[in-house]
Parts: sequence; C-alpha cells; structure tokens
Amino acid sequence: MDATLERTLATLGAAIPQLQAVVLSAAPDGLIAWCWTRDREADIALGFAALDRAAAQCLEGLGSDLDSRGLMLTTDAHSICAAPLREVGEVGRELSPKLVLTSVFAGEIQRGMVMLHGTRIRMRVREALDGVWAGGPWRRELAEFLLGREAPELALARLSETSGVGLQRLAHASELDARERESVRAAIDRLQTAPLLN
Amino acid sequence: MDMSGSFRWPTLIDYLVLLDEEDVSVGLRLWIGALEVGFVGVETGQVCVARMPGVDGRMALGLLAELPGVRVVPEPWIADERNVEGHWEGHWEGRWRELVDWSVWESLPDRTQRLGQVREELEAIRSGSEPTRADSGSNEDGDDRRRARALAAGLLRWVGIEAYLDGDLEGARGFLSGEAALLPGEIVTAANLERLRVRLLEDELAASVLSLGERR
Repeated sequence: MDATLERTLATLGAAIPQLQAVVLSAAPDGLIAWCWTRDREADIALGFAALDRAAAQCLEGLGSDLDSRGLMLTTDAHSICAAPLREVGEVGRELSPKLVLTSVFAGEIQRGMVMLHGTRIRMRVREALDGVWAGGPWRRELAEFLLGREAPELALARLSETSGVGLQRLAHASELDARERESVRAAIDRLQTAPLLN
Repeated sequence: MDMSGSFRWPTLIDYLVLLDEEDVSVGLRLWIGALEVGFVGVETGQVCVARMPGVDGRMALGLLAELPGVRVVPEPWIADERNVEGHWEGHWEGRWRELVDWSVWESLPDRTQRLGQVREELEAIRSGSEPTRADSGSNEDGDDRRRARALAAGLLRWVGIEAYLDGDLEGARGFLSGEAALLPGEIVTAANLERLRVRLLEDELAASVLSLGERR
C-alpha cells in the first residue's frame, strides 16, 4: 500500500514542483495513515495531523458536518488545503472518523491552483487506494498472525518463504489472488501448529 | 574517515563522476541518519539500477541525486538487474535532461576533499573482498530483515488505521503498538499511538463522568 502511494506521489511531485507534502490522516483524532514529503522529513506530518484534529474539534463545537469540510490555510510562503478523501458522508454520524487528505504547497501559487492541485492529488490518491483497499478482513487476518509472533518481521519473511509469495506482495495483502491467499493461509496454519519446528 | 568539522560528505554525483572512469561494479547505499533512503548500482561506470521506496529506475535516480544531506556508502556488488537504461548523466524526455545542474555541483565546497575520500573508499572496495551476491552474506541478511520489518510495520499501520476507521479503537491500539514495537524511535508511529491512548483515556473519562452524573 505504501509503495503504491509513494509511486503515485513521486509522479505528482515531479509534475507539481510547488508540492511540498501530502498527509493522509484519520479524523477526528488525526492519526497519520501515511505521509509523503519532498525532503523526507516525516516530522512535519505531525503538525498537519494536529491541524486535522483541531479542525475536527472546531466543527464538532459548531455542530457542523465533518464529512463536507474543507480547510485552507495560507501564508506568504505556503498554502495548505485539506479535505476529506471522499465527500460522500454517512447521514447522522457527524463524527464518524474519516480519512482526510492535506496537501502542502510552497512558494508563490494562486489560490485557485491550490484547490485544483489539491483535488487532483485527492483523486489520484483515492484511485491508488481503491486498487488496494479491498480485502480488509484478509489483511487483518495476516496482521493478527504477525502481531502474535515474537519477531513479526521474521514471521513475515518465513511466511513468504513457505508460501512462495514474494515479501512485498505478501505485505500488500489485498493484491493476492485466491490461490496465493490459500497458500499463505496454509503456511500460517503450518507455522501456528508447529511453532517449534519453525 | 573524518566526519568532523565542516567537511561535507561526498554526494551521489561525486561517486558517479569517479566511477564513470572505473571498470568496477559498486553498489551505493544512501542513508539519511539511520534511515536507508535508496540504492544505486553501478556497473563499469554506468548506473544500471536505482531504487528508493516506491520508485524505481531513472525517476529514483533523479530523486536520489537531489536529496540533501545524504550519506553514500559504497559496497561490493554484482549487477543482477537493470532498471536504468542509457547514460546516467541525462536522458531524452522530449529534450535532453541533465541528471543534475553541473554548475551547482561545481560550486559545492571541498570538492578535492570529497573526491579524495571517494577515491579511498573505492580503492578499499577494489582491494577488498570478492563481491557478494545479493542473496548471500550477513550484511544482506540484515538488509532483508530491515526490509521485512518495514513491510510488516506498514501492514500493521494500515490495518490499525482501518480498525480505527471502523470504530474499533482497542483493535487499532493493538496493531499500532505492534508497529511501534517494530520501529522504535519512529516519530510518526509513536505520535499515532500516543494520540490513540489519549482518545481512549478521554472516552473513559467521559464515560465515568457520565455514569457519576447518572448516579446522583
């Protein structure tokens, strides 16, 4: 999943020179799902997650709908825009946690372009995620298996070895086809029933 | 190796410039602090592999060449794949595009020192051990494990976020704790976990205040 998004952003970053950072966070608590920054300084994502959180609190206080919010923050040097990854909201659950995409631009850039680029980035990230977002229960099953192991990274490597599914493909669980899932599941069973042999 | 004072580390371009004249295969691993950010494989002077997380080939090479503050560590290497074609100095993309702005490279301070250091490192590799295949050797074991760790951590983070989005905060905490255990000191991971703990605490407080109110 990370690799897919990284690839998407590398392309966008090359096409939009002013683009400085993109942060995908989960509202209302501002947990950072993923972030990309041009100079690879992940720390700045923390500030944007805080911004996401503050916006959620403000709107909650106003009794406003979080799903339709948009945020624009500008200084002479930077423009920041944030909006939900998806606009469609569930009626009656105003505080339902949602993914929010924040785009940060540096340098002189017109407000209209910020909106335009922001939307474009949101669409591309959405597309990239759609391709891998399916298969949640299966992904969770795999994660739970890893969580129960003393060294999850070794368990993942062992699983890849036993099932014959490459490490990267395995970690992007949703991309596996039915046959691959079957062989990974068999490998999980084997590792669980005979932990001493592995 | 002198890493003190104002001396700048040799850049990726310094290595490529010197390797251009050499009949040697070298892998260049790029680091920012303790974080490995990319790899460039050079065979007989030509870049044949470039990769960084999520990007391969010429685009990765272009991005790596521009990363500031990178430490390059050369290692023995045998070419086993190729994702960069043509000369590393530039390529056609409608027009000729240089990998770097040479006037900028030429104006960097301490060039003699930097190139001197690169020469020494390359000499050490040439006279040192036989090149190792990518799938053997203890150093590569460490790399594999690091890669598996990053992938496992990434998976746990996504599953944790998904659990959070589904309203399963306890589940989310479990997965994010697992991620944090794999990546100690990673600031975003630690911050996520801390935020989630605060949220659970707030919910607990709100619930107990509510039940106190009901009892009165």
